[in-house]
Amino acid sequence: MKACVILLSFLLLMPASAEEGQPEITAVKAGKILTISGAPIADGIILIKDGKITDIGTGIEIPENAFVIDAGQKIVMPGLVDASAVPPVRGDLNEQSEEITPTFRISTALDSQSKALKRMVQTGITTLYVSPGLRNVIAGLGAVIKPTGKTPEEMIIKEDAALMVVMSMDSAYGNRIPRSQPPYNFYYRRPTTRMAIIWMLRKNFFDTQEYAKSNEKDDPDLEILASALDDKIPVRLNVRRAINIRTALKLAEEYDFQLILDECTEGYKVAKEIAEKKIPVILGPFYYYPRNLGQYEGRDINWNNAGILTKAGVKVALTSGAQTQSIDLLTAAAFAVRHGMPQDEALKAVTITPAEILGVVDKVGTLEKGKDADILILSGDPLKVTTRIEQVILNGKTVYKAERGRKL
Amino acid sequence: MKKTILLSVLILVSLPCYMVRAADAPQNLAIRAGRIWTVTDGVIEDGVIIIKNGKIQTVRKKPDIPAEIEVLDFSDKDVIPGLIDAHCHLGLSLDIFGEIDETVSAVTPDMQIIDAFSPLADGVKRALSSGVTTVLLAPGNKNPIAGQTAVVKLYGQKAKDRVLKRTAGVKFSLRDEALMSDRRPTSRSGLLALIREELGNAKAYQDDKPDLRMKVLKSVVDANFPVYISAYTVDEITSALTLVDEYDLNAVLVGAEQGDEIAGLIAERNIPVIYSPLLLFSRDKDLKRVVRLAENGVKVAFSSSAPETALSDLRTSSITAVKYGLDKETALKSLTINAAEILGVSKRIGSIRRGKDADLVILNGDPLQPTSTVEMVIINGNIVYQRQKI
Repeated sequence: MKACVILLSFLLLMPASAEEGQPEITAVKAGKILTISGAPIADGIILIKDGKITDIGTGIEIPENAFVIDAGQKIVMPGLVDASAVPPVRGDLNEQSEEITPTFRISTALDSQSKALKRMVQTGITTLYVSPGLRNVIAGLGAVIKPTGKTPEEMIIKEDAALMVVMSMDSAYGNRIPRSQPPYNFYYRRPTTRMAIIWMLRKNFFDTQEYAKSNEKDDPDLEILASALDDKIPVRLNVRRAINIRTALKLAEEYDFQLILDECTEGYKVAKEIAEKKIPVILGPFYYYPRNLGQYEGRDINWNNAGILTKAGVKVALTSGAQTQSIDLLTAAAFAVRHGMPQDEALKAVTITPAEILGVVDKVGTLEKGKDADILILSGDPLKVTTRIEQVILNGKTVYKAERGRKL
Repeated sequence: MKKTILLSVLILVSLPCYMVRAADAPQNLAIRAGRIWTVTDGVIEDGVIIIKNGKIQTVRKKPDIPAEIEVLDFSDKDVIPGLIDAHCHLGLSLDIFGEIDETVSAVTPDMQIIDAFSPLADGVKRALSSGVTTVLLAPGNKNPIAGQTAVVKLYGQKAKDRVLKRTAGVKFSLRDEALMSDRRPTSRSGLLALIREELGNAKAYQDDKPDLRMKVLKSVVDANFPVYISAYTVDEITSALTLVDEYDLNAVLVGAEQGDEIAGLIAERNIPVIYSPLLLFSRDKDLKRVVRLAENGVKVAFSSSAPETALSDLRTSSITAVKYGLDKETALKSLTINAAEILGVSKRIGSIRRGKDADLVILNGDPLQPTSTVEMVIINGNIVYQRQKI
């Protein structure tokens, strides 16, 4: 009996002692800390508690029981924010049975077990925007997530972060008009042309305005569109060609919504106008040769798109590219620098700027007191191709450590 | 002509293996057994089961056996309740490669699977020979809201003996299979949106306009009519749990392959799981999952999902689970009483107890040993299978 009691109490104590074994506070020491929000800190220390940064600077006293991650002379920077990543979702990214699907929420299909999330963490991405695909004119609502957790609730940090609207030809390609044979499925529909895309947008925005005036409040689609026109949800317009960018700017003025330009391949041609209207831009992937669209929408690529836009004063975020994921985010920044974007701007374009555009800058994007402890430890200058990511800390926990010969 | 003769010779040769002694009326029998695995009341060594009018009348060590009753002596054998396959598509198609989905429409809750079941379907005899006596029939996974399931026995002279539940619940599918490129839904988010829309419509539905589909879904959202939600991966299961929370559904998870990753969330909602056939997996990691699921307090039943695996493979699933660490009691329960409880037929089947249907399987050894073979199967007191010594 006595032995039993002792055993029982031992068993009861075990989990408690296991928790005590894990220190509450983690401290990261590094030769150089790129805070992004301010000047770099030499020989700095970051204190982390409950997944948040509690202190950052030089000469901070490290508590005795803290778990210390000594990065030596390595460089520490905030976790990357990808404003247009491949969504960890299986199957179609659009509900193709209709062309206007504002209530479509990509976040309801998040697959926490996706291998893509793991790979993203390994390239330093700790926050990402996931969006519906480009096949519908009004494609639906995107969300900002972190690549951690098992259920969508654990992953999502901002639901309904933007309403995805597609003005590039993706939303028209594949639609057909019944001519000789009778229509047999829902691909026989509008739009099939650029003008019809814009006509459909206009029609829906008009309907929304009429809906807002009326007393009936029973249409979930128009409810979403109404909150977009009320500036509660930003409208993220996927455009590539300059002519479309100009139309997008015009529509934003006409219907007075909060515009974010997505992809913006020919943005450099209209940099001045974008800057004047203070519209943020989320650039598409760099190595982007859209084969089937090339003739129409990918012809005029300028490698210094990011540089020209930044110089004109546009807020630019770089991305790995939702549609192709041709490149990792840090390399994209290095690529932009190679072609003319200033170094510090390029680093901002993968951290604080996307965080601002996505509306999560209070949580992520810089290393500051009170923000989430999403930290990268790098072997050297982040914009050097030879630099590698040594360790990724997400919400204060190490989620990736580089090992030689590790399978991706 | 020659072919016909050859065929009939073949049939005649193969008949004795399945010698079925089907009587017109259930017999009254007494079975003397070495071990009776009652499942709910422990194991009785050297006991006797007396069957009267197709029901179990007595299960005891040494009862008085009436003189007029035939006694079957299995004093060196084991008796277990008839096994229950908690999810299969048996008899739904004409051949094993046939369609088990009505994909013209994505929402077909009014479709009843019982109408398609043939008691003489392929695989029934083999299923009987491996001890399966009751199955849940369900439509496939290609329709988000697929149709109504049924619980039937694999033998019975009359429909009332054979059919335990004409409609046992509505099958939902959250799997990728339910997406098609030329039918709504084409995407996972769209799939959930469609189900939400239908359930929302059902909630708002008034009986003014007769609508069969809405009537069925109304009973799901209002009257706790069970839903069998097919979900395999973590995201599919979390989606299922969200639907359960939102509409307060009386749900059973089907498949739940990766359910162990979020076993806590399933257990706290008291949602039982009808697990995928373990024969579909090959990696240790996957084979251990069902054990972790059961250890975390989730009620588990096994299934064959025939024609994915044969109905006769049902017992193999639980034996495999035992090999990977499932305790034997739970393993046997998951084949019998757990499945009966999940399907809502535990008043009639699932254990050896006075008053329950006389569905019994006699094996020549421990039921959870792969070497044990089924010697005899009894359904409603009828001997429907007897192994022939070769």
